Amino acid sequence: MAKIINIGAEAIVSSTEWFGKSAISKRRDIKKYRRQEIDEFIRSSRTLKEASMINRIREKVDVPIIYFVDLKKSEIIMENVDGMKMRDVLMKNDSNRSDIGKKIGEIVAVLHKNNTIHGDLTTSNMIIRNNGSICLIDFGLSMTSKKLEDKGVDIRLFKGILQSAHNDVFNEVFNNFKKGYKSVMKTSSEEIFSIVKKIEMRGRYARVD
Amino acid sequence: MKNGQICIGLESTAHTFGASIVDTDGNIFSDVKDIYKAPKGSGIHPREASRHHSNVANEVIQKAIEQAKIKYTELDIISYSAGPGIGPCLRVGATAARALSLKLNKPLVPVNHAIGHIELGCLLTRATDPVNLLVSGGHTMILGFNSGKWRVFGETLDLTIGQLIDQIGRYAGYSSPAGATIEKLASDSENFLRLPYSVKGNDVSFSGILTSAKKMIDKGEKIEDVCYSLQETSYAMLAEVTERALSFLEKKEVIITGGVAASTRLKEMLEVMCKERGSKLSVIPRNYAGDCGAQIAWTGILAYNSGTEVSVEESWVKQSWRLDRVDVKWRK
Repeated sequence: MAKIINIGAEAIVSSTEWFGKSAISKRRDIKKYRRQEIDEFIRSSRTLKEASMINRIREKVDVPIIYFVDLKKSEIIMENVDGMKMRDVLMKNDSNRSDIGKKIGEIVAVLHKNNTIHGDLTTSNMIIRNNGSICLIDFGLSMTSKKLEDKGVDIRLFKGILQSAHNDVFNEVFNNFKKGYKSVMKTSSEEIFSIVKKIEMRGRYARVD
Repeated sequence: MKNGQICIGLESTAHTFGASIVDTDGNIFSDVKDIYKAPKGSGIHPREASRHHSNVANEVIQKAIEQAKIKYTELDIISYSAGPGIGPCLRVGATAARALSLKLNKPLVPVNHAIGHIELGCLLTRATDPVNLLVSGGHTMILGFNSGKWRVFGETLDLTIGQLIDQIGRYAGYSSPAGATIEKLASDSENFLRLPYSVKGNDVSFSGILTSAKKMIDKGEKIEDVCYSLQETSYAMLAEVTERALSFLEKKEVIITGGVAASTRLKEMLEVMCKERGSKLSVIPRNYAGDCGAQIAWTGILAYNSGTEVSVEESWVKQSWRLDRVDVKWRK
């Protein structure tokens, strides 16, 4: 019946149907390695967080449509977003990286302007739809915050994943990310990027230069 | 009797002064160490630790040579841990290495201590392209090799797991390193107390656990329960971020390296996680998990054979030398 599409770190994603429409089910299954108290808390709180944050932000940025949430099973039925993972796009040579970087910057800035912190801005949590729009997924670690520090942490995570997984295109993508971010965020963007630097310097054995 | 090149590695980044003799084929002929022990309830004092290292250096090196049944003149490469670590401690190892290099007229090779943990782990577990969970007093990082460097996919934002364990141990009056003590206490409890679980993307933060666990001790909670809950919470966080890296990188192999790799409970959790994902877990053998000369000697061989060498005049130590700055020329 349901075909497993992806076994992610946190959840199993499988194809399903919702009133005749093609949909996906994202289910956070029990992790046997951790104690039940920790496991239940993580699965239910993140499922709830993900569904409510997506609904909160849906008019501002491209996110999947949520059809149904089953907190008991830690399952969300949502739109099947047709497209390619950003991770795979950036690993291809022919992608238009300056354009993509700028677009991601704009989207993240819109989130931050609305005091929404994604919490897990890795390139496997962004899908480029066939029409070019970038859809953000996986809001399980998201939160609401006005603090520039939290926005800085969000950007630092994205920067880190570019450096480690997409090092060959890091400069091009990140410089354009900054441009896109600044074009939306305007005044406070300089301060946020200087906070990103500060956060990096807090890393263990980070070089002081 | 011994083939290929023979390398001596000197380790002196923190509490351990170690010397080891290794050859090109990865045979470890000797691995001798002497560990500075801080008084109960306190941490490493840099001056005292470096004084300890100066006092034992001669004897440790001599023993390593004797146990390997070689003569000093048979050494081909002299390697030393150049960072990251405690300045005064690093300088003792570097000074000894310079002296050997000058006396024997053999090449001097600086080695990054953290890379040493990983490469020795890969040698001893035969892992080829793993996600590496490096857990010790100095490091808590999730790493994968990508385009010429060991890249950081997740790390601690504040304390390392080793610091968390040692600081709670010290707070409760035990001597550091306290890993074995905490694990023993934890095994006498199954009473779980809630501690802050803090995973931020691929990163972890342990400072909240430290504060809460100290408060629990102050309130008179049983130390066994605190240790148990601390292990269950912090190791679950490590298992989660390791699984995140494994999933993102689409790799099938995990190795645990560093001193905390000696923990039975951490290994147990990672084993369950890997089994559910169809991945393979390897753990560095306990006697090589903590700081040792072998990690420096083996990496010294790898580095020298891909062109790393430094003259005595220009040799250096760096207290802050992040492993993702190191060009790993011997890996593809």
